[in-house]
Amino acid sequence: MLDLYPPARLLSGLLLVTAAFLAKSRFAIELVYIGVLLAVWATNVGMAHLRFVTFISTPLLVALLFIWGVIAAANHVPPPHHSGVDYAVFSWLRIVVCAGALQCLLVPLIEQPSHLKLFLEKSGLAGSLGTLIVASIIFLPEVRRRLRQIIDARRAQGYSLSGLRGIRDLPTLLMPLVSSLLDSATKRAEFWSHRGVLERTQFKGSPYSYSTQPSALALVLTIATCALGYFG
Amino acid sequence: MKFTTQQLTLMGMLIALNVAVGGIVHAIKLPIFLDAIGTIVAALVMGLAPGIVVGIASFLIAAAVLNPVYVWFIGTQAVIAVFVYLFASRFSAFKSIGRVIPTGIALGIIAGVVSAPVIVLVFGGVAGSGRDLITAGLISTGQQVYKAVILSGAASEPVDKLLQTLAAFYVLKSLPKKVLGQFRNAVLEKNGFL
Repeated sequence: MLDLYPPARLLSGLLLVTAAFLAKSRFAIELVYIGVLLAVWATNVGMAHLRFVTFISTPLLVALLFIWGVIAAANHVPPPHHSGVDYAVFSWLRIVVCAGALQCLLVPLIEQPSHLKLFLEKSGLAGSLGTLIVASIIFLPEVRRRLRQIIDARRAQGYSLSGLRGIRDLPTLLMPLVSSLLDSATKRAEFWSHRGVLERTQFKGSPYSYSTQPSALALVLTIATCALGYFG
Repeated sequence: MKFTTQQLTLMGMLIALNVAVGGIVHAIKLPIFLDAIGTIVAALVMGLAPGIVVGIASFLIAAAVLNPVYVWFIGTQAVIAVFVYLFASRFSAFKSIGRVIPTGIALGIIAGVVSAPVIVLVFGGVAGSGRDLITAGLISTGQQVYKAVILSGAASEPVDKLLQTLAAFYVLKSLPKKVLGQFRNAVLEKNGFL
């Protein structure tokens, strides 16, 4: 939703992660989380964040409550602050805040490799590393598809590929994949060198327009979130 | 840092391999992570710097497409690349199965110890895996949380990292010499892959 300038986006994401670590109390981290939820809404990563909170962070909360609320409390191991349950919830909120901030920063970029390339250039991270990251994202669906094909072929041959037997058959799964990647890398490198793909400046103009006011607003809001975390 | 076009394309593919394998292994319910196989292969086939870059970039991309938690463990990936490269180049650690087994176990212990500060400082002492049961058991015996996390990491990671180093060893050993020969280097020769 917000077309932030790349350095403003990078700085905002990092400031929100910093805010999570500046927060010293549960109230402060809750305030920071409100700021992160605003950023999540503004950058359209609400579904990704909801999936993280529901499926990934919930088991972490259970583990935190078990360790700090039950085991540590029963064995008189003092939590860093307040009660064990309070510290478990505080730690969980910090994980969720950091995850939300990183999702705001990373998810919109990954969805559009051309935006990512431009983001890396504008953030001073261009060159071969930028190209590498963009190339990896382009290769990802291809590698996944090849891996799926190999898994399907192995299953058709009667390999179980799950549980402990799956571990034993792992090399038979990976060998054709790695072999084809090494071979394909050489062929693709020849093609890229021939076509001058790496030397070409692909994105001379901006693929979308950046807005100054939202960028400034995002920075002010993230700095305010940091302050709330620190003084809250 | 300057990479050849061939290195860049292979690095891109190994990054995609790390992310794809990590996701699919979880989906088909294998009881391991397998999130460093591309890093290990990159360090052996291309050297130290490509290995580190593959490890770090894999976890940055995995953080965006799979789970943002990955981003905190990019340091562990860099250490895995350094360890594999140093042991392979100095001690020919991938020359035979008898050398790969202690290398994998040592890699697991190092990875467990390196990731412990992140688990304590960022995640409050939990990793969201079976490792947490070992941590809980150690705390119940009176250990401090930080020590319990280090010990649980050193106890659980070696199994996963041993399996990954064994998988990388078998994969590289079984590759046709013609395919691997395109990336000829001292580490591959010293460890008998060429």
